[in-house]
Amino acid sequence: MKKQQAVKAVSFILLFLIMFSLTSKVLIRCAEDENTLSRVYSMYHTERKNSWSGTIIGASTVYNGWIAPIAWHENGIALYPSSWPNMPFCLVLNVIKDVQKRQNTDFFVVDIRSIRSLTENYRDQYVRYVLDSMPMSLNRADAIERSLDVLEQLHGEGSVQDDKLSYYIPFFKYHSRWSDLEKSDYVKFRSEMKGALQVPKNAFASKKQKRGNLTEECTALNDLQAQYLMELLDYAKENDLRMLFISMPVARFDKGEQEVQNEAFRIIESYGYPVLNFNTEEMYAELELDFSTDYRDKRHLNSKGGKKFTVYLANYIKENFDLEDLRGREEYKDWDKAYETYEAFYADGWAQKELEEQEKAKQGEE
Amino acid sequence: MEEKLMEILNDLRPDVEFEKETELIDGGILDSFDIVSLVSELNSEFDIEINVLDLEPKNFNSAKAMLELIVKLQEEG
Amino acid sequence: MAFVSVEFLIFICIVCLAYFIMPAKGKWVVLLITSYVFYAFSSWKLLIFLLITTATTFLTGMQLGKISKNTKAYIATNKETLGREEKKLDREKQIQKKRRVVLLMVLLNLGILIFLKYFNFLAGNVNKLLGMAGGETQIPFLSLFLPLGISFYTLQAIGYVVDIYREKYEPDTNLAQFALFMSFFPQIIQGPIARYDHLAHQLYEPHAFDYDRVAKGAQLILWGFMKKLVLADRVAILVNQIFDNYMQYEGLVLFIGAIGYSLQIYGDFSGGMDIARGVSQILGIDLAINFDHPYFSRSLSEFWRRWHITLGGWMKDYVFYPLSLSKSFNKLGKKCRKIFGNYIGKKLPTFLAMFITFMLVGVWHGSSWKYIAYGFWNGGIISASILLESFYTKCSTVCKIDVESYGWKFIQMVRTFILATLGRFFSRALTCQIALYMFLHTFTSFNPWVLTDGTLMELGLKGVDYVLIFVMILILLVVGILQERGIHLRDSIAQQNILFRWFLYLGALFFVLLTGIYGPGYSATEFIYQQF
Repeated sequence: MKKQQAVKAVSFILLFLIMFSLTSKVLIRCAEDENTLSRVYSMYHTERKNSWSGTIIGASTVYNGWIAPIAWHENGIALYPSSWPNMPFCLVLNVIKDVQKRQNTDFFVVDIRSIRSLTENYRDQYVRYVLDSMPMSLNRADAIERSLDVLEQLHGEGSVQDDKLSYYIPFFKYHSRWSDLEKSDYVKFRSEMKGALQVPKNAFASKKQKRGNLTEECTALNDLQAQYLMELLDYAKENDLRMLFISMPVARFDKGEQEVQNEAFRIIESYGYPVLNFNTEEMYAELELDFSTDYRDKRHLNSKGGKKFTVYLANYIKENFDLEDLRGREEYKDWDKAYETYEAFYADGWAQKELEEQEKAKQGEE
Repeated sequence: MEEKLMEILNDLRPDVEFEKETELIDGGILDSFDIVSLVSELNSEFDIEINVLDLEPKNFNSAKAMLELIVKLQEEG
Repeated sequence: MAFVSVEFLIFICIVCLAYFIMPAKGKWVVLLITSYVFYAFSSWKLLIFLLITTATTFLTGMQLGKISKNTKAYIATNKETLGREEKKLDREKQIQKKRRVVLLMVLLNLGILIFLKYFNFLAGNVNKLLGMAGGETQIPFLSLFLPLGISFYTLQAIGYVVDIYREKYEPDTNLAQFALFMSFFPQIIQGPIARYDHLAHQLYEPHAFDYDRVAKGAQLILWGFMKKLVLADRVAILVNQIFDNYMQYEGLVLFIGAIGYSLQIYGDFSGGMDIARGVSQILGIDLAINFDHPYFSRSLSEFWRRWHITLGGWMKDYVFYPLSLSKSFNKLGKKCRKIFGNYIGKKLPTFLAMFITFMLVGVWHGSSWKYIAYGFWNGGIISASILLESFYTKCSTVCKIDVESYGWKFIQMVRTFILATLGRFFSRALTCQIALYMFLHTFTSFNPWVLTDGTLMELGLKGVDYVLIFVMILILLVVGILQERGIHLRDSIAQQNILFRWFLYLGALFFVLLTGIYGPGYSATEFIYQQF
């Protein structure tokens, strides 16, 4: 083959790969809601390298309940939420490794409640939410392999819906979206409030919740849960990570859920890591949680409840972990801005809600 | 003999100019039904036995080629 | 291994790399090994059948060659002493010997094919007859699997043996090379059915890397993928919906289902052929074409010369001609002429031979009554068209129709398309009964409103899908028209400037990648001809 031909062939292939990658970015939709999309997009594309104090990892309860700008305002910790809907617990370690590529932090808060994902609740989509946004790397390949392995173990052989190749190259799953593209696929939304929930419908929803029973009993973890918890704890030990395991406050647990959680806490404590169980009567009292105003459903706090939770946890972290107060620095002006934006959002949201309630009441009278 | 051949050919396919054509097979002018009809006619008219091996394009591409084939087969007996 | 899969693309890359790196003498060995690897991937347990056919065919060829040689030597040495009668007798004996050898080979290999493919069908029908006669015994069904490509390579082998018998060429003397001829992977799945004198030497000769040739081969593969993924697999959704729920539909909808299948099978089969030819072209091998714009045919007979060309060609050379030119048919012809007069009498034996040929074509497709019906449909129409030929000519002169005008040609093409499409009921429907039902119900109701009242949107396809189908049809039409006029597209494109070319290639690539039906949620419909 002549040199000129080789050059032509290679340039063609390169051009193709570039176009492929660009088209991929537009086509991939790694979540169904804009909130997750914007939070995750910002996590990978707009958040500065080595700017976080740490991160809080978990499922939807985390991004509903943890309001990073509030914590920032409290005591200057920059704790961004790394959370996806129904996040599979087996991916916590991969997320930690991935975060460590971009952030020089060793502090991780993990909501142990996501251990419930390693049961029949486990689904392809929840895996895809995490993986499809993650940049390709050996870590991601490992994450793919383990998630599919878990899928087969939980749902049986041959239950993997999407073929493996479409995990490695998401283009193959999303390519048919070409006819359904919207503006948000081309112009990616950023999170203006450091990952805090920005969907008014959820942030300002409030539904009175019935309380469930609390228990301190322990039930054994299933094999997968035990395996991945141990793996996480071992890794943390070997790499000197500072971990804090929490259980975010909920109104009601599913049957058997709290018992498994308690057992998980027991194991974690035996490894020497601190746990913070928000689901006790004492803690509910400390947070002054009001189950008629602070929840939008049995699991998720609204922004009112979220503020209470965030303030408490931020102060707890401040007292128990040695994290720098990053306020006042030039480069962290965006966090200050995020707080202002959030406060405005919060005030507007609840004011609006008030108005709507009054309207409803008036109509009710008529 | 040539006249008889032309008569058979024109009777079979009056639309084809057999005097001029030299690509009767390769050009797809005669199809397999034409061939078979033609062969049975030639067999009975000239008392020869054209078999499958003889159905090469080169033997049937033109009236001239067909004539040559007939002569050859008559000689072989 | 399916053609349209990532594994196959990787496989091709490996094969091509190995082929071009290997020095000239060993190149064909690369092809042999990779062909067997490919076969093993798909059907290693049934590899034994391919081996049996390869071995028996090779040995038969050698034996025939020996007989011919011996006889020629005998006649040569005894040229003086032998009289004309004795020479003739000797030739007769030789022919008898050769006939026996050929018969043995054909019976064995055809027997294997018929057994594996048609046993259960035959058993089922025999059981029905026995049942009707009041018998109790039933032939059990066997769990039989079809080796990959058996319907294709068996015909190819028989063709080879018959050609040797007819002394068209010398037999192959290298078993390993011959094994390559029988197993060459691009054509093993669904043809084209190759002729030894066309393909073998190409396989054995080394071909060096040639950038332009490789590029053109790659383009052809892309074209095949486009036909399969964008058109065939997309229409398949609609076709499956209609054929799997045929009771819910009537009239025009059923016909649309058949039209869909016409498009699907064309895209699928000819696309697969393009991929096979493209891969071969990269390796420097020229496979026979199997499709020549069949939907431009102006008659059903022409259609069968443009559709699955190598099958038609095989049937013509090894069934139709031998039958219609055989002594028995000759005798039949004479008898018919006495009974029916010259006009019909001449044509009757040809009809019979042709009917038998089309029945075989039908049956070859599969073991079901519907394929026999398929044979009847095609054979019947073609017979009718031959019988009515002079009638048609009279009509057109009376009606003053210009048979060379574009308008008339167009009408003929539409008519042929409709006839071919109606036949599709028999190849796609599950059983003969269902096919007949669908066929009849196409005519029992005339419901043009389904085109506009939204029915079309409930067949599994969205608006954008229909647009894409039409775009593909348009592309195929334009390409077809250009090629009919003798333009070699890949060559003319190669002569354009680089910006245009790259725009076209990248455009085509992304067209397939974006709009193709593949990936999770869509199952790449297996090549329809693969289980042959």
